[in-house]
Amino acid sequence: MALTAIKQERMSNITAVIVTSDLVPGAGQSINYYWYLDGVFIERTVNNRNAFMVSAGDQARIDIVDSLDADLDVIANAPSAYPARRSIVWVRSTDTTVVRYRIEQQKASGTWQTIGTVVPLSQQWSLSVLSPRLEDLTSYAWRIVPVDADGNDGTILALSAEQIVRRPDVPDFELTFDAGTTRVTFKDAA
Amino acid sequence: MPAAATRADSLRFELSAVEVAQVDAVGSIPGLHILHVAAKNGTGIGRLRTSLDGKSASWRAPGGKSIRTPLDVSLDGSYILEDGDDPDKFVRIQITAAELSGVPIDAEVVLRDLYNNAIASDDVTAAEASAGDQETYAFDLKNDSTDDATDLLVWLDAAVSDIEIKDGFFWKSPTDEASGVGLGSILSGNSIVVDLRRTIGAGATADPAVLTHLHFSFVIRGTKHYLDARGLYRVFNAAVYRFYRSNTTPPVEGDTPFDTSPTLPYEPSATFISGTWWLSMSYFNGVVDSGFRPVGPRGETYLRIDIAAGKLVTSPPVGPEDWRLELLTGGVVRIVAYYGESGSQRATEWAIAFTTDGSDPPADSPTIVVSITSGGVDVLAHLLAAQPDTTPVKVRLQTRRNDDGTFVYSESPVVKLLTVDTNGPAAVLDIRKFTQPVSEGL
Repeated sequence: MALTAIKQERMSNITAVIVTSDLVPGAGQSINYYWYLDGVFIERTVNNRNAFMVSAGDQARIDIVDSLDADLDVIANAPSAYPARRSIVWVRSTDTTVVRYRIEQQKASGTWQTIGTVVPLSQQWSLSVLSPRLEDLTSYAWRIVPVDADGNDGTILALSAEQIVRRPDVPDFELTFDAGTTRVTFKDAA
Repeated sequence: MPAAATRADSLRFELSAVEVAQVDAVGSIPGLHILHVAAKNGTGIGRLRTSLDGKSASWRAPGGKSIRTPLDVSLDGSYILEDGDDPDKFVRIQITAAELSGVPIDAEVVLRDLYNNAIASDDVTAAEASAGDQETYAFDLKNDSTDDATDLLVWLDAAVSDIEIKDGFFWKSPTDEASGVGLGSILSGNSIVVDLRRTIGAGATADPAVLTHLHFSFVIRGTKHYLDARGLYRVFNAAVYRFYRSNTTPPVEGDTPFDTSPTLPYEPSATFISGTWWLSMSYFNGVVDSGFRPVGPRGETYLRIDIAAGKLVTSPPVGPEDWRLELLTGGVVRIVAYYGESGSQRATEWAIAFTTDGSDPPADSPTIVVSITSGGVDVLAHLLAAQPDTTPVKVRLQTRRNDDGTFVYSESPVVKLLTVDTNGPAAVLDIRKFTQPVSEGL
């Protein structure tokens, strides 16, 4: 049992993905589609179509797992995707003066750059942001900076740096054929 | 319920006096967050749960079936929550009592292995994998309990093949408790060093996730407990572009490349005889392959070339973008299709082949031909002749182009089937008439 077809339709920056499954639902069952974007689980749908924002020149890898189980363990059954993103998750400060959190990312021991700001909802205990796509074979670190209403930075909590090893970007290529040698040459089309 | 550091959590893995994280945990409950996950939990989804008043908590490890009696966590502090089936599968949590919600909550906790911790050491580089490599490393096992831990044994998980454990002067690789390496006792507050040796054979194959997995047993307060230690590392090979070709069917991800190169452009030495060839390319970063890119006009993951007498010739037109069969009244089947292509390769005709005896219609041998508009974009809505009830109508739809008297057909692996149904629905169950008006729909 597996997906038998995956089709893409692109309109501007939106790419629609339509899949076909050969699973046969029983009475009261539906086919569940578990969608992973760059290796990160996004959502479960019973619709075989989903849409993703992918800017021109950018890449995203979509993996889909089909199952009749509506409560599938999305971690144990995740495809070997080697994600290009990281979810940065933290438990909020108990300091009541915090009004927002600044999330900073450091690439290859360079300068810290802000990748997002999160304003916590009341009583929200755990918060998270999804990082941008990360470069393969490159070191990244993240830290959370609590900020009060006056704009003062609080005590920073940092994650140790991680060497990102992910599924590399897919190369675009073109071919030339040499009639003299009957050989082809592969070239980068990017 | 146990106090901290009295049971399996008595022994902690450390490196430079810092506890070694082995399994990453994402998930929490307001007022409760996870400080450490015992590696024996493994990976997957565990569950944290608070009781009706939200002041007690329990833990269920991935794959676990039962929940232990909830532990009172109504005061600030660190607690140990044990799995209902196996008390050695625990999580150490921190409670901020003022933040507890006061209502029952059931939360998923995602557990995943970590790379390159002190249990697994660093990745194997491409040079090390090529030449072979042997590395020794160590971590500490500290007794955080007020009691002594005795009868300490360590052995390898049966799936581990590249790790040895130092036993005095010798390196050993036991895979069960009975033959485990004895590490003696650890007095309260003390540590011992566990030495490991990793051997990578020359020419080792790339692997994106090799699990180093150790098992420990020990006795504390008269009870035997089991601990795991685990972590991942990678084996790199050289990074290369991978080239695929076939003259029978398009390559698919996972095929064996016919050549590789660290750089582009690259001309493989293999020659191409006359015929149709499908070619694909991927990039392998030394441990993970990129897969194929949809480089073709219909999102195909390959480029096609056609060679005749040693020269490149024009490839066939592309097939229908999308097509379907529709059943109309009286046993009529309608073929609906869309085609779009620009340039000199575009098709000039639809080529329809169909059968009514259950056999697959042949390729490149149409029963019906319909013209395609010269703009290169066309919608087909063609009616086939009416067929008797239950007739299996099988259709193969292609496009074609006339190249100096020879028709060149699009690829067309798909044959679609529709079974004719000419029967209408059954009669209504009853009909009557009344002298008085009756509300519509009654």
